[in-house]
Amino acid sequence: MRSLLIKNLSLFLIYTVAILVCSMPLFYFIMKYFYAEDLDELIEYRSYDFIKDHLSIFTISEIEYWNHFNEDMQILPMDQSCPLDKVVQRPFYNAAEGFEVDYRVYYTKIKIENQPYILMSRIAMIEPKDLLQTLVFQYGILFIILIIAFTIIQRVISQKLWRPFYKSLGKIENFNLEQGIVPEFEKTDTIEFARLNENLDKLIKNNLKTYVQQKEFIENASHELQTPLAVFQSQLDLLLQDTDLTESQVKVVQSLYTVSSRLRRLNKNLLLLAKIDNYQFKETQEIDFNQVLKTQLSYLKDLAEDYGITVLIDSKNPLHVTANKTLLESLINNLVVNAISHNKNNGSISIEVKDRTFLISNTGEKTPLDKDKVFRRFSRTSEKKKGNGLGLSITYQICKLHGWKIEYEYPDEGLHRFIVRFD
Amino acid sequence: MKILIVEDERELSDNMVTYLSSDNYSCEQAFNFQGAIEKIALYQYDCILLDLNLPGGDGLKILEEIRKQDIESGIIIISARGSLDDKITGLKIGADDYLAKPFPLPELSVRIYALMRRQQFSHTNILKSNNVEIDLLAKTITVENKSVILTKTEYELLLFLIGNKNRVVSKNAIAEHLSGDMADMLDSHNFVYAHIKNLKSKLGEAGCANSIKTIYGTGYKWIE
Repeated sequence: MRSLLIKNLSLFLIYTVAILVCSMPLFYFIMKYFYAEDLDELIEYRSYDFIKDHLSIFTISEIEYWNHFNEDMQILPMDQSCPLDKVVQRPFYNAAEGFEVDYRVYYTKIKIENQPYILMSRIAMIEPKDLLQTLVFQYGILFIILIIAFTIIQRVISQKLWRPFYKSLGKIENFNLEQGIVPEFEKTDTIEFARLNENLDKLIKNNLKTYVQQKEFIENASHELQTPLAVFQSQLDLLLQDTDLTESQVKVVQSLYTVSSRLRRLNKNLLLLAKIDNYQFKETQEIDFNQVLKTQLSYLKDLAEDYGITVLIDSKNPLHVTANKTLLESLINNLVVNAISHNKNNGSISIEVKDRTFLISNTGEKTPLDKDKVFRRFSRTSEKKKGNGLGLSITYQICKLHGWKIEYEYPDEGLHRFIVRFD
Repeated sequence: MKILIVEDERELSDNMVTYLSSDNYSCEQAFNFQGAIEKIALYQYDCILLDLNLPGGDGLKILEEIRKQDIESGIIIISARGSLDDKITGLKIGADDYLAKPFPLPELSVRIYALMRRQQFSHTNILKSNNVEIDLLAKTITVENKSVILTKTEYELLLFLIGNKNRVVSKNAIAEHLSGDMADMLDSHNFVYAHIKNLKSKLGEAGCANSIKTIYGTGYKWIE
């Protein structure tokens, strides 16, 4: 993953290089063409100049002497094979270079002492290798300048043009649906970013509205259920007093009674969850954890022992936490109840308070629980119908609300452990 | 013993009246804020059961009114709001107990019973039923001057049964009273059965054999 600006820059450079490379032959031929044209003009002019200024007084005896000193302007015996009066390109041996190079050559017919001769005027061309080298060198410089210029331009553009985008990005990155604060997007005069911000704002507000409505719905639904549940329960309590019930009727009443208690507790836990979600437990205080633990255990321990479960407690280390007391009690209660109800016959529970952590381990089934699902609402980790699937979820929410961490571990075969870290 | 039931849900209110009347409580009903205020001004009650969500006003206002007028009724808030803030505020203003709706009627009955006991026997703290004597302060039981040692759970169970005397209480209601949130998680029937069995045999040995009657399939009854 690369940033938009780096991507932009690298794409631009790739295309620039491609364009430059593709256009290189074109530039090469254009340069060569104009260079040749320039030379042609020069040699034509030189021939014309010679004919005008020197030819009238030139003698045949001077030819050898002249040719000796004018390597690039020779007077040759008449030769029909030479193309006359136009510039051609021909290779000649170049003494300076030591090998054959291309020359622009101009042959013209002259008469010296009435004898026909050919005047050859030539100029060595720049070598294709040298031309190419120059071109590549120039391109290199151009390329470096482009990279530097582009990087700087990108920086400037990013700071100016893309700034609103990065600002909005930062805002939505920090957005948390549960906190319910709509981010304020900065005003921008770029149409696209203004549209983006406007739509983000709409999206967030709609989401928040739905989220709040949903949370309220759960709470309201649970509230509304309480009265009919209370009526249902009270009718059953009265029905139970009826001495004329037949055996089968009694069975029905009994089963309704069980259903009723489950419904009531389910509703109660849903309501508690909704209240935690709705931040209705604002009051916090400094609490001696061991004190609360002791109070909660005083009755839970008896209960556990009624089921033949041994409870080992190591809470000598002092631990003070800032918490909502009701929720802390609920947290301990849920974890202990969980440890009792998922225990095995003659099992044990070990509770430990140390290093700002609360550890509770219990013996139980010989398969570890699914770490991803264990705190999820209504996710039953065992097929046994125990509880209403909300206890650990409530525990998790309580930890989250206080900024604590809760983890599940399976340290040993048949040993399940929950750890609450209070930091 | 006079009880005022302030509850707008008529069916629930009627059921409470029926259940409580069988224990010689005489119950009166108020279904809204104004009705409750008028009844409180006119009559004396030993106990007021107060719902907080009432047509015409907040139940907590009634509570304030009662305490302002120095009325010495015991007050139990029965609320569907279930909010802990309400519980704390209610108890602060002067409610004696708080019961979140929905609740089993035996639980309500035992709360009223406990409250009445606290108010009436505040000097003696001795509770008698049949030949069983309970010292509520020392939490000790004597049957015909013989001391009976009960576990904490058995003691709570005994009080719950006596608090609902002459009425059938279901195993579920007992389990819920004794184990609170655990009731769902545990096999409540065996749990209750074991404790009832122990309690029965301990009381029986001491000479109170037939007070706890098992009603087949439904629950138990304390006969006085």
